[in-house]
Amino acid sequence: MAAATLRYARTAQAAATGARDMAPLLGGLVPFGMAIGVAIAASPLDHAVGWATGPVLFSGGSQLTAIELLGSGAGALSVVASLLVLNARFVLYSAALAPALDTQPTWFRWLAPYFIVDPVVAAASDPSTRGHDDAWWRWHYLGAAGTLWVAWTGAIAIGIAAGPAIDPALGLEFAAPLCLLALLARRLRDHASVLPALAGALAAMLALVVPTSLAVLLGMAAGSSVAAFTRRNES
Amino acid sequence: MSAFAVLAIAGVLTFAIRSSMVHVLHGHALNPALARACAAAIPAGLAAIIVVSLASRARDDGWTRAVAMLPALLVTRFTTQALLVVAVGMGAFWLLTAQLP
Repeated sequence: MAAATLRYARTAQAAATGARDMAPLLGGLVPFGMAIGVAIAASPLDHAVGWATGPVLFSGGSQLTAIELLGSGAGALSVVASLLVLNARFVLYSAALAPALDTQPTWFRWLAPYFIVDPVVAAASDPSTRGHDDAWWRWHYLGAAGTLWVAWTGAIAIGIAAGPAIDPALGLEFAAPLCLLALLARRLRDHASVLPALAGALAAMLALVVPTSLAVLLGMAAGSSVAAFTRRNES
Repeated sequence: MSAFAVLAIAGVLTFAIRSSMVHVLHGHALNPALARACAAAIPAGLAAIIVVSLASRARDDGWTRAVAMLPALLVTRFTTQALLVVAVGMGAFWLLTAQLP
């Protein structure tokens, strides 16, 4: 009984820490979610389908693309193909989280990937999450991801409802890259991340002539290659 | 095909992408170089998304967002508190857009 209570307390504490780690990021992500809601309100797409892009795709960039293509009546194949290219970067995030998920229970290995998106991956791989046991990591992840999920889907709903009242000139979607900048800055405290980040930014800049989604993917590939190459030289 | 059906197919395939490597690599130890490369995908991806996001909006309003990001970048030298970084960046963006004709 006492052991179960203690386990429950540790679970709750880990989940609360995850939620607390995600909370500051919501200042940037909630306005972005609202901006997506405003885009849905302005689109000819059915509002329920537009809102459903949140829980179904759970990725701002993909959702904006889906809203634009579905709203303009694009063919199913072109919508699905565009989203697959845009989401291809999640393969690398999936590989990045694989070692941490390897020792987790099966149910969690199936559930956790649903939440794989930039802020959740960054929070889950933050240096502060190292040195804890599997259960703590699992509940911290769920606390962070669950907090983002609730805030994100709620912000989209608010954006749809308040759409006409929100001035697009406010540029709310700019809050998202600012939020990612804060996440990146935290990663750059670890010097091993500096070169990959620089390579990623440079490669994405050079690749701007290709579609946006490919530029991001090429940036990630460049950063990963630099990291692998640097390590080989060091060893 | 209805818009919701298309979205559902995209959602299932997106989940397959997200979970792919978690299951492919399950039970296999990554060699150190590959593990380092996978970990580096996160900062590289964040940097690439920021660059692409700024560049893709440059067509609409010049480089206002990129310029507004400079004070936010300066703030990250002292703190990585997301709320502060967002507040400074958004404030700079609104100031700049208010000055533009």
